[in-house]
Formats: sequence, structure tokens, C-alpha cells
Amino acid sequence: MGSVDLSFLSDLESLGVAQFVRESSWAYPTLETLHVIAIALVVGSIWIVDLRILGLVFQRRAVQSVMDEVLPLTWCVFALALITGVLMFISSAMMFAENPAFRIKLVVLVCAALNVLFFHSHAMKRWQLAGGDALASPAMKISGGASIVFWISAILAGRWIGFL
Amino acid sequence: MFEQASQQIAQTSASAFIANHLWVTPLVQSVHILAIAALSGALLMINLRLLGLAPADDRSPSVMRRSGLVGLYAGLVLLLTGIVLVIGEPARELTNALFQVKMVLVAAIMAAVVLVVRRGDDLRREAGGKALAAVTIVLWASIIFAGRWIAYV
Repeated sequence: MGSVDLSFLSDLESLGVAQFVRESSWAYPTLETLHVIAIALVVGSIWIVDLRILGLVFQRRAVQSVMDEVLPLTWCVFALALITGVLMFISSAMMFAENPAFRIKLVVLVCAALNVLFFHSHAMKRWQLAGGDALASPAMKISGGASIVFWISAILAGRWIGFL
Repeated sequence: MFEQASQQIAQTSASAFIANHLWVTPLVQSVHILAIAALSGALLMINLRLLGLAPADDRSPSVMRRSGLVGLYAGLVLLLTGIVLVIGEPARELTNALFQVKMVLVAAIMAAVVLVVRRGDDLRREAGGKALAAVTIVLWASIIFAGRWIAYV
């Protein structure tokens, strides 16, 4: 990472909670398990919305109705994925920061976040202002398709962290 | 019995191939997790309906049955990728107590999903449907716990 000052990573590792996760026999595998549960629900639920936007499932239901049913839960489990992920990261921050798969996962997550921002602040808003009819707009479809690809990539990169 | 089976599997050329190609295991594990995500989405749609939490405009009676079918297809992918992972590291899986517990739990959740596919619409109006949702959620979480902890026992 060149000349960037990474001393904050060792500060993170010396936090009490980071030491606990590192030294406890059960904390890390438990966090991993909760992370898998959270990711399964984040990705499984967001795919339902993405596939509905693309017109591939639940065609008889309104796009807005599927989003209203699923997205609040997606945000809750994403919070769990983020918290468990951060706790695992700080337990060995320097090691993870050096891991190529971890770095790729971070880039993928930033792309996914920008896509969510584009969807909510632009694509979905314009579609709602236009009446939010049965069919999603082309911008929403592009965003929904990108979302499917980003989450597949995030899971691939995440699973590879332990193998590098 | 399991020791002998795992020794025999370890001697196959398929097992040697997986051991010699380091990308196979993480790739197959990733597909396994992607299928877990698909199954989780399907179970979510089913359980929201069994628990009466789906929105009022959702009158389509086939949502549960179709979600159940998606869940069974995802289960097929899980079974196939799981078999590849067992062939790759038979001693890590077959002789592992948590792997054995996981397989029993998998059989139980498959029975639950088959029940939903066969009579999902009736279940929605019964108290038994709520019990089935609770059982499915507990089984699903337990299976993920057992699966992740295989690496640690």
C-alpha cells in the first residue's frame, strides 16, 4: 500500500474487543457463522428484488410491493453482516489488509454501495415520480442486473480470503 | 464405517484432482454459499407467508409453491457441490461429528420444504403453518452453524 500510513491498523488490533475475538476459542467461528447467515439473507433477499425488477419472478406483483416487503429486512441483516465483518477484520487488521481477496472484496462492496446509491437517489426516484408502474425502468434493470453480479463477486472474493 | 469410506474416497482420482487444483475447493464452496443465499431467499418468502407477514396485495397462491421449488433446486445445487467438497476432503467431512449432525438436519429441512411444496396454500391458514415456519428457521440457522463449525471441531 506504498506510503499510506497504516499504523491505525495495529491500533485497531490492540483494541480490547479485537484481542478478545483473536484470543477466544469460540468468538471468531461464531462471528463467521453469523456473517454467513447475514450474507445469505442479504443476498437471497436482494436477489428477489433484482429478479423482480428484471421481470423474472413474481411478475403479477407490483415492483414497489416486492421492494416494500423485502428491503427493510435486507437492511437489518446487512447491518449484522457489517458488524460481524468489522469485528473479524479488526481481530487481524494488518493480515486482512494485505490479503488480495479481501482488498478485491472491499472494492466490490464499494461498487455495490455506489449501485445502491444510484438506484435509490436516481433510478428508483425518477421511476416513482413517473408513476412507478408495473414495469421497472431500464435504469432500474441495469442497476438490478449489476447488483446480482456484485453480490456474486462479493461472495467469491469473501470465500477466497481464507485460501490466500 | 465412515473412516473406511473416507479412505476409499481419498484414493480416487477425483479426490486427487481436487487436492492438486487449489482453486476447486474455494470455487465450489462459493457456489455452495450462493446456493445457500438462493435457498435463504426462497425460505424467506415462504416463512413470511406462513407467519402472515406478507403484504396484503400478495394474493397469488402460487408464491409459496414456486418459492419451495426454487428452494428444492437450490438444495440440489447444495447437494452436488457438497458431494464435490466431500470427495475433495473426505476425512474432514465424513468423520466429523458436526457434518453428521448437519446431514440429519438437512434431511429434516428437506422434509419441511417438500411439505410446503405439496400443500403450501392450506398451511397458510393453519396454526401448523406458523409452527412449520419456526421449525424451518431454527433448522436453517442450525445447518449453517453446523456447516461453518465443521472447520473447527
